[in-house]
Amino acid sequence: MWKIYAAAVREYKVTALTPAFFIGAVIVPAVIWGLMFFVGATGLLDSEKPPMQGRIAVVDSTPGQTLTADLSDLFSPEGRARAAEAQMQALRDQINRLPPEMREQAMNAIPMAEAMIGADDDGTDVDIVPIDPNEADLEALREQVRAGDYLALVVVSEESVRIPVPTDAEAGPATRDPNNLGPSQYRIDRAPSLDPDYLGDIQRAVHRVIQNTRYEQAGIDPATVLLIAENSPQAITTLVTEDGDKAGPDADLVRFLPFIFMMLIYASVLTGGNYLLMGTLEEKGSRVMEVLLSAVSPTQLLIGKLIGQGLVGLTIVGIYGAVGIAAADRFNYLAVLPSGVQIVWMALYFFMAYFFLGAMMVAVGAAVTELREAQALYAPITFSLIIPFVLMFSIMDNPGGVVARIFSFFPPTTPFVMVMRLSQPSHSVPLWEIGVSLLVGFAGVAVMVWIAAKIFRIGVLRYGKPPTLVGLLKWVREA
Amino acid sequence: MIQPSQDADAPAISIQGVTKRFREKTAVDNLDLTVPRGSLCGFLGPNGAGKTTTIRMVMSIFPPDSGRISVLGRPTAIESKDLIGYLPEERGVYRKMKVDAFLTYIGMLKGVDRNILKDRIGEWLERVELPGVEKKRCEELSKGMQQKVQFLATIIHDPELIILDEPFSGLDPVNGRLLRTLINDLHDQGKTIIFSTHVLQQAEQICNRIFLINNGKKLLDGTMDEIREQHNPRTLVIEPSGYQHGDDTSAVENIEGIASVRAVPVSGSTPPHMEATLRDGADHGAVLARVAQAIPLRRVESRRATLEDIFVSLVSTKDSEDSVRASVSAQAAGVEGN
Repeated sequence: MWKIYAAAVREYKVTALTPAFFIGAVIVPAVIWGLMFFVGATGLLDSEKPPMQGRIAVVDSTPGQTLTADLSDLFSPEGRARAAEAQMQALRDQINRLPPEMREQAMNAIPMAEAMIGADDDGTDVDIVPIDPNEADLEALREQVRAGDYLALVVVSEESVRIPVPTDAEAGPATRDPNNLGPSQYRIDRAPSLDPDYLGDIQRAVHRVIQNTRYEQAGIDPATVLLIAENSPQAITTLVTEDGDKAGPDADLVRFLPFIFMMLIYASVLTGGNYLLMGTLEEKGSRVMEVLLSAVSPTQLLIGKLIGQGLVGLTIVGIYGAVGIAAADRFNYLAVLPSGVQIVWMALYFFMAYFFLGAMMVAVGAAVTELREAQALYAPITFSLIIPFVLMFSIMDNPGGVVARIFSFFPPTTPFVMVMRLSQPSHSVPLWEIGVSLLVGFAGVAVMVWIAAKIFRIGVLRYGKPPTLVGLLKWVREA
Repeated sequence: MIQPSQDADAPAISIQGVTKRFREKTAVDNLDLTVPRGSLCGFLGPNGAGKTTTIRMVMSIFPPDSGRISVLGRPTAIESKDLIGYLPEERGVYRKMKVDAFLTYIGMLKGVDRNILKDRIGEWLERVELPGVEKKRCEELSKGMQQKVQFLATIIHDPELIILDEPFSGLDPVNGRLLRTLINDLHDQGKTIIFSTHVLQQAEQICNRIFLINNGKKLLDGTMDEIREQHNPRTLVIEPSGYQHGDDTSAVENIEGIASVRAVPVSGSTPPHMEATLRDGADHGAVLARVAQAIPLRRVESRRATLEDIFVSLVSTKDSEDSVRASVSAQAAGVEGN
């Protein structure tokens, strides 16, 4: 036991207690996190745009000819203030709909939102120039855009606003002919100096005008439509299980929780496994292996290495898990994270995944002399690592489905699949499935460690031609 | 010098009928070997003779296919690993580890307390003339310095039995001498030491006991004196004054007890002389006296068999391997009879 402990401590020390590990696992993520926060808070990434100044020509052939007024309003100071206020109101409405415990914290975001949305005078000065459709010379206007007299030319025809009919779909693709707009089409010819963001504003204004015109033609009040759009249906879902009711949040992020948890385990297992492979190769390559074997048995060394690097993997899980929990707390997702018991299960699955994969990695490391020879023996490892990804969407969509259940009891995939299922807030894994999968999974681990120990024992003192996978199986039989 | 105390305790190593095969190749073939406690043994054999395989089986790094091995009275080395210091032929250090961390790790693996190791490492580094390298990374040391660190890793836990596989390879003469002194010191402290080598002068200079194996079989086993006695010189070197080739040769041939004579022409600084082989059973001293009477002499001597002569004569006789084996086993039996 003492020898295993000494070997494990060394593995941990030389891997995790080094500047390189600290930089890779702590500093880099912290810096990225801090940078994102900093950039988000200061708006450094918002590029400094020159204010839009100039004229926009509008040729409006619609019945009401409201486009000119609408666009003028869009670019007037009052209009922009009104738009900002509407956005803030929408945000406040949304916060008011949150559960009370989340509402208070969300309120903190309002000053920041106000600062970002707030309409300050940024020097925007745009004149909307209406052109009489009957007198408009579109070619000449285009030339004026080219010459820089106008920022843009907007052309809307009767066809643009006509209520669509089923045969419109047969009209074919859009033409470039400004005099000949198809159903639902309108044109914008713009100068290079027009910022794409403003182009979006203009487009939205035109769309709104076209839609409102259509609603009116159809006898519907556009204000009613707006209210309908703003008040989309809200589901209040509750998972009713034997252990009690669980609130089912509807946010998109929650859907990706299983993916996040699987990646957390995946990354830490792979990191630990890679250190194992490299470490074993180093001990072989530097010929220190036989020195070690004079003090410990190959199996003791193997287990010591597995434990030591397992702790490294756990450290990585700990670091990222803590960051994840902090982030979840900040964005009010703490409630959807798995509960205490589930964390214990997940820890067990982490060890299962790690020992299974780690044993394979260390066996490969012991069998070969150089890293590039390891590629040939990598197939079983790649296989175990890819399946969870192949199955991921199926399991995320249907955590209680047949696929999810089958692969819950297949040792190489058990830990990954079970972690995905456990971290899906809307799903509750039956206790017996957890129990059986733990049994099957750890039985698989035992077999894999046993195989690895045999390969390790033979491989560590063999140099020269690397074995094939079939050759490795022979070793297992021989040892 | 402490004499082997076979009666006191179980032998340091006892190998009985051990065989090890790798696929078709038999690396060790029905080997019997006993290493008495307190002895300083040379384990000799040409490359590929099975030395390292034997040592690895003794170390329980892999098991024999058949036969029994006991180490320090215990059935396997696993139970006595902490009492054994083993310097493998394939040896190295962790390149990125500091010297003291490396030695501490190896020492701890062998069950020594960290605090004890701290002082011991400093003392030993002084002793091998590497003071102050504790905090250097192993990769910063020269090859010879690394070898000394490896040697310290072998003995840092103060083992009873020390097995050194080719300990002198790669050492310059100065460090070779240092290592020899250390081996002698350890032997004087009563440690049992085995080292394998193919440099025979070293074995001859240091060892009090020799094993020689080839093709996995034992060819020689005994103390240095016993072996020299067994391979007593049967050749006289005769250099007459005023060497007359034909006359002197026939004169020597006629001496009682001489089987044959070979003339050796001048070569380099060696003057022309004769080599006479004694008849089986002829008395060495009497023949020498008769030679001195027969012809005027500048020099006559009996050639002392070096280990190298014995080694080459035993190992290189391919055409009549069976006869060599027969004669060797007869010798071995004779040795054990002594």
